[in-house]
Amino acid sequence: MKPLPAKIQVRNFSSWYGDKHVLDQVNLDFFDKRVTAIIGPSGCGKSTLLQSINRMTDLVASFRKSGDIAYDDASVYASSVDLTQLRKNVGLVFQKANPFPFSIFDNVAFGPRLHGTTNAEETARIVRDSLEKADLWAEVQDRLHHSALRLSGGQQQRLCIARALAVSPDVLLLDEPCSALDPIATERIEKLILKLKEKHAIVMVTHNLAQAKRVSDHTAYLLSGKLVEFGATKSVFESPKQDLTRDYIEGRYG
Amino acid sequence: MSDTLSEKAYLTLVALSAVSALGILLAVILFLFAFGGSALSADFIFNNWNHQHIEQAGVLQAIVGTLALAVGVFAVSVPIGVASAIYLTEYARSTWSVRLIRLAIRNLAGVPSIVYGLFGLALFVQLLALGTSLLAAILTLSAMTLPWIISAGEESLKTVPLAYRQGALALGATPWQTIRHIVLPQSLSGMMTGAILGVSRAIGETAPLILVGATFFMNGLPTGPLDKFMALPYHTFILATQHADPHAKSYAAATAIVLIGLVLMVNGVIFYYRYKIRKKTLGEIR
Repeated sequence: MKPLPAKIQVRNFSSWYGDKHVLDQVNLDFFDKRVTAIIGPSGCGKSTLLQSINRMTDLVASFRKSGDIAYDDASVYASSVDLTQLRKNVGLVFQKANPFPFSIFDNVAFGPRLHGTTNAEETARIVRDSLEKADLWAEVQDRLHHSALRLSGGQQQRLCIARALAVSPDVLLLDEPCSALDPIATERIEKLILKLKEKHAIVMVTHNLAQAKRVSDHTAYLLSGKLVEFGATKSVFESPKQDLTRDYIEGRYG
Repeated sequence: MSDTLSEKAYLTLVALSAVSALGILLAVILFLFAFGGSALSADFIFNNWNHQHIEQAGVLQAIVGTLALAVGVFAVSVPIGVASAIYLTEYARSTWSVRLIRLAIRNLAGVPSIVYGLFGLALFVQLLALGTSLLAAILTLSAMTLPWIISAGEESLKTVPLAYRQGALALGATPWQTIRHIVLPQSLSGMMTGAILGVSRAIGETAPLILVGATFFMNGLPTGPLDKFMALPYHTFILATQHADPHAKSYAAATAIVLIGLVLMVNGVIFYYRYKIRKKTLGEIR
């Protein structure tokens, strides 16, 4: 397998919330058209690492960092970075589905309208396209103007994925996207992730080791803010180089 | 058994408390009608005031004055109050100066209205040379209403889930776009509740108005913001305490009925808009 160009490079990245040291000297790459799973016990810094990539961690007043993260070889922490552009390119889907209390249509149209799409036909085209990509169109095409809050949990999460896709992101960050869903809804999202990786770099935080194994190409194991192991998913799960990793994936930990 | 008994006793007690609130409102209205019902008529509502013949006199000028106050106070205090609430909850970090501002706002809400009257007299009437006028009264009552609207605004902004804000920001929305398109529409209904409380309180005020511009008698209606004006609460007060005519007290009660009716009407209009906003923001679109 020839080496892929890295979409996102994390270099010597450390971060703190106030005095709490969350990430410690993390180095790893996320690749285009690949799914990378970040696994590790609760509180190990998985979500912080994920949300540092599109700088959602900036919202926490006490957040500090050292080191750098680059997207397409340009630092996301450079002072010249346009946050709006960064977050358009690097979309984020949250652990708990958070559709806006609008209609299904308006949820998906929110991003494009924000970024200047005013033409109604163009908006409708983007909405349909995004819902199709998120594997939701068939279920909602007759009730686009119903409240998004009436959808089931799995549908809401796919709606949130459609909403993220509507601004044409390059990278998708998924923060435990299935943790609140039943097995059937989870399976649909996993299939969707495998389809989406044809066009996007996907980074997914997950608690579910079986899911990481099923869906991801690469796996990173974080423990107490340190990167313990990073490599092809198959080798991380079948022949881990570190004892700590082995303990975790064999269920002796977390 | 004793559990269910005490349970019933508590239930009765709280239910009685709720009923008593309604009872007080009904008692007030009944008393007013008993005293002033005979003085109510179409002429009373649509005629101008007449000192000599109060049986022909009406309170149109006072109605217009009080309505002008309500609209003016709403127009001045709601935008400033909402903007302040947005700044305090969405932008300001929790520094000592912001905490001091918040403490000041909480305390201002409890300052007696006559103190605002004196403040308005000093600042708007004299220093800014607006004279005793409708404008001076609107600004004075707005200053009084502002802390209520800011507090209600802050509370309702805080009820908007963080997840909505995060969702918008993660799509590349700027903080202002997030406030404008997500947070404000979600909190408008709570803000309207603050506006109802504030504006109702303002149009019922008498004390500050005496200092800054209300008058008991004038020819015709005010023609501009710098004119003096008549107001229903002050009119009630004068009729009840200062007028020699033996029927004056029943006219005072009739004026109070009109005032209550007006307060209910103003609240009704705001309620209606709040209802429409709620319906929209709860996602019941089309």
